[in-house]
Amino acid sequence: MAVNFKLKKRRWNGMDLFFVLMAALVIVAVVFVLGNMDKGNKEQSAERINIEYTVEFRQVNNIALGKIREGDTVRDPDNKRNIGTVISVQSAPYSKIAYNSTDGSVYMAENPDFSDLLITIRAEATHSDMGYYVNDARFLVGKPTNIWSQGFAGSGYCISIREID
Amino acid sequence: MENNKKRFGALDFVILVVLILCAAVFALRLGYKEQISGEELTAKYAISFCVDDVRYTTADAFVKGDRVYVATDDTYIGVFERLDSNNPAAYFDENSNTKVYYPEGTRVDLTGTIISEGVMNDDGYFAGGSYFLAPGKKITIYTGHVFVDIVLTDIYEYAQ
Repeated sequence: MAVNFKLKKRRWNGMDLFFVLMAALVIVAVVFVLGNMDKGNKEQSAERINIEYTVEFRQVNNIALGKIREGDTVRDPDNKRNIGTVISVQSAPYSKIAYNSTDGSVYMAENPDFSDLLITIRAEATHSDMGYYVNDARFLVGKPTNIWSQGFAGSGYCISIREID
Repeated sequence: MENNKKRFGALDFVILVVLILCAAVFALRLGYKEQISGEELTAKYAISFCVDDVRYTTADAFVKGDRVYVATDDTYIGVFERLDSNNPAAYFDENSNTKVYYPEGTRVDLTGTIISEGVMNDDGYFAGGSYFLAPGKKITIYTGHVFVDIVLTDIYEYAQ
């Protein structure tokens, strides 16, 4: 007696591919979420606070003095967004420590061609474990900071951040 | 009439199992190995560090209780505990072979302590079980207030 087996071979088709891709996406999403949780569960605060941060620019050529003033709007050169309004500009002659070997004294030697600029900027920010954020620009004491304004561009270091009422 | 409806087959099952295994391996790689291997992470360690030649105002930005992260990859390594010293920075004047200290209110050297949780074994100390730290290592760290380069000077078990 002959038995007729009809073997139906299953082939890989588009539906299988779709199914596997969906499963892979779900797994990648789960791994991504777990991975981010592992990065210290950073606490994000959506609360907006007013801050005043000061940026120190060392050895600025005196030609640039007066190019940035109180009331000027400053921008982040990277994302071109507003990062606050200048509320204070202070300048002092650029100085470097020097040692007088004859009398053993230490003094700050000034170079009259250059200045140190302290620019204080007021802005609205959010704060988290990552630091202060003003329109996606990140500010921390000690962090290199770049600013642009209409008449001035410079690279300095943020030297203080103060939360104000 | 022949039924051509596709059903969940053995091949689909095998693919799913392989994908789940891949996810498990990823999870291991992302720092969960301690949970799976049962390795203990309960020991607390104090990490001493120094920060050389920074502006004197930087000391004010170290806030007790701030979480400390490595800037290069955002790895969490512990909580800032305290500043231990805040002394004028110095430089070496080669003309007179003299160590010269900066005047007050200019540049300072800081030392401080971070409290970390991790594993100390024959290979050294691993913050969080996976991030290697040792005295002499220089890293850039940040907290919610400060961003600085530090050099680790000591790691020892923390006695509360």
